Amino acid sequence: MRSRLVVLAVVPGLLAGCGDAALWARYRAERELWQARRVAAEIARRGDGAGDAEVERAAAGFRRIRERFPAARWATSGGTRDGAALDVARVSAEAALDLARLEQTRGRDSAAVAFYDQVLADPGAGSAVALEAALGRAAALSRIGRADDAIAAWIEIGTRFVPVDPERRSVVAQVLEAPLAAALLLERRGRSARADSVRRGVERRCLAALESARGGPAAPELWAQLAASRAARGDLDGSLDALRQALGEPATEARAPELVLALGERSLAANRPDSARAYAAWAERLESPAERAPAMLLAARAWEASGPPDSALAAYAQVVERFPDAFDAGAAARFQRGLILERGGSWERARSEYRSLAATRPAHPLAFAALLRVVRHHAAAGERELARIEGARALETVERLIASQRDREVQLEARRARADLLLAIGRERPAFDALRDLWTRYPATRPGTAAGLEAARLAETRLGDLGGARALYRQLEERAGSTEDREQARAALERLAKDEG
Amino acid sequence: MSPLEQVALAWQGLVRTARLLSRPGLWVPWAPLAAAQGLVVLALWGFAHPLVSWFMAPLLRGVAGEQALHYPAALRAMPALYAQADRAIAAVLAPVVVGAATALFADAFRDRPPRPAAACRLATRRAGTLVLAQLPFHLSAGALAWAGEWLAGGPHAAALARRAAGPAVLGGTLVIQSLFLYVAALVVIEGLGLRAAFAALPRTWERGFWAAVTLGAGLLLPPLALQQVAARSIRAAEGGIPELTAWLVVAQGVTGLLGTFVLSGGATLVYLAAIRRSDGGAPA
Repeated sequence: MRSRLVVLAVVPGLLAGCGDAALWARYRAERELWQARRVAAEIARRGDGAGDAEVERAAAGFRRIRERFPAARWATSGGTRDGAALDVARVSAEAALDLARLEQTRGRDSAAVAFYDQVLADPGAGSAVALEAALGRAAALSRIGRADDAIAAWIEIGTRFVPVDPERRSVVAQVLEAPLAAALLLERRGRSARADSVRRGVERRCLAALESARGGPAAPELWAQLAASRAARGDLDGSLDALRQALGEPATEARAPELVLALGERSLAANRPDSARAYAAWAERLESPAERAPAMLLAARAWEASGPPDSALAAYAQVVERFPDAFDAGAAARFQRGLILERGGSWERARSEYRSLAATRPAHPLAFAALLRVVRHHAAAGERELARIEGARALETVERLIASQRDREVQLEARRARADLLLAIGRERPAFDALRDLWTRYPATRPGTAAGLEAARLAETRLGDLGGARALYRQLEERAGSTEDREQARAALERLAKDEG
Repeated sequence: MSPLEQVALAWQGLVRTARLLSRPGLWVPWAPLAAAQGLVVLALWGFAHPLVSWFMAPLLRGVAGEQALHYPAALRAMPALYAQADRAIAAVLAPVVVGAATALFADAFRDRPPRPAAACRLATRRAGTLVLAQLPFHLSAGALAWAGEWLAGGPHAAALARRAAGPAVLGGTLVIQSLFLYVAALVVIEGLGLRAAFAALPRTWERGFWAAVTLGAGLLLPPLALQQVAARSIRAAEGGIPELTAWLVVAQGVTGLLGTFVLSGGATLVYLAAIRRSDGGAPA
């Protein structure tokens, strides 16, 4: 009997010794990650309605994975049969990534950065997880006002990660786009030389990757990225050359219309409207009839750039007629017709275009711009009564949209249009309220911050409400989405303090 | 016996067997079957545990691919993997269990005290015959299922064929099952050998085919309903509760066991009442 008990006790132990401990760890880690993510997904679904207890539950789940399955231990354990140990390390890194995202959804970007740093330090994170962490970190740094660190982080993404996935043989676009975004920020901050240097770095990486990727599926995208970087640097000839190279790649067939259209756009930017028209015609032939609106719009813009206004008007009219349902192309065509007619002195016809646009696509950003142009035209012409009547009518339209539309973008555009219309008809106090409302509702966005700064300036200069202006500048100094805006608010506060002194 | 009488007798068989569900003695032969199915579920559910992973991981990798070793893909693959294992159990172990159960049901319907040990010994002695006698049913049902999948899944399949494949396979399986339903009774109650049992089968069709169809159809409904739930549960698993799929496999196993218990009892009663009674012995 005793010997049977010994066998019963020993055999499972021996069998367990034959099994794969890493496989078991991976399975448990994946299960715990799934469960914690389920809670996190529920939090994301409920948005602001999610309570702190739920957030803590999800965070505890992710933290537990980090504690039970430390990435450093599993990444270096080695000797596993099928890489299961490395998978455990990857799952652990993913848990840290999820913790960062969770902190981000609660607006705690500094804490998120700390978790992103953990992922980037994890030896077994794997390139996909590490790339996500690096992108998230750079964005979080930018949000908390550490612009220089964010720029450095974006530039580092370009050098740390490979631009072509060796397994899928496809371009990892973010690896090339991140430094280009950094270059744009550098340019905005007046550091053009550094921006160009970053772009040249991207171009070198594209060319280096192309040495082995030529003729393969990644080549057209690499050429396109090279073209984008050259264009951003102002080297339009180089950009056109890269796009032509992309068109010559065997894997380019599916992207051909897009590339030809890009060639047209760059030709137009390089002040070669004839070439732009030729490329537009080519892109039109490549596209199916339903997809030809962008090419026709490009042709119309090329006519507008050089040619009699009637040709441009006719080309835009063709877009409107042939694509009555094309939301963006139709709106752009009508708006451009209005501008050309306005410039040519045909105000009645221009107003008719603007009104048609506002009536047919009331939620389009250009429809708001069209309403504003009508009011501003009358105001600029000294027709105060007409400006007031048109303004009241436009405000009515905008208020109706604010009340009926739930789309966040439309809400933002409509509220901005309300403020602009009020400013155009000289109602400064309601305009100030409308701008402040925009800032209060969208503090983390660029339009929200711009509205906040505008409201503060309005209060400071036109309304003489220095207290109100100071309060707004203080809010902006604390909560504005970008470093530049915070710096502007700080400078305004210092100026006000000096004036008082 | 007319078809209508057979249908009535089949329902009586189902009802009378259902009343026997609470008799523990009748469950004795089913224990090994339940244990085998339980072990399969446990091995699939806990395949990654070091106690079993040394043989389960290579097995799953070979059958369902590397992805089946990850959570929650492992649980999503579980119904299909369990079905494969269950087919093997149904072909090898279930005929012996049904044989022992048939002997026990025969005693119960004759108001004799159940002798589980004797019934199990008898079925074990006749295990080879019982397994081989049920083999044509398993092979034909397997071939039919394969044909159905081929018909519905191929690129050549017309929409009508796709829609008709499922019901056709179900109906075909029901007919094949009805043709072989009384084979266990012939082997265990009459003591016939393999050849004699097959030779006696046509007479069972004359007297009990419609009863067999009724028994099979009556017991197909609960698993079918469960299959519908299982299909929905797999969608639910995508949404966040992968364990639900595993619990449904357990529920499927339990329902299947109960169904086979009632089917065996019903078939034994029909055999005793309609097929055997008509000439006082085994159909020649």
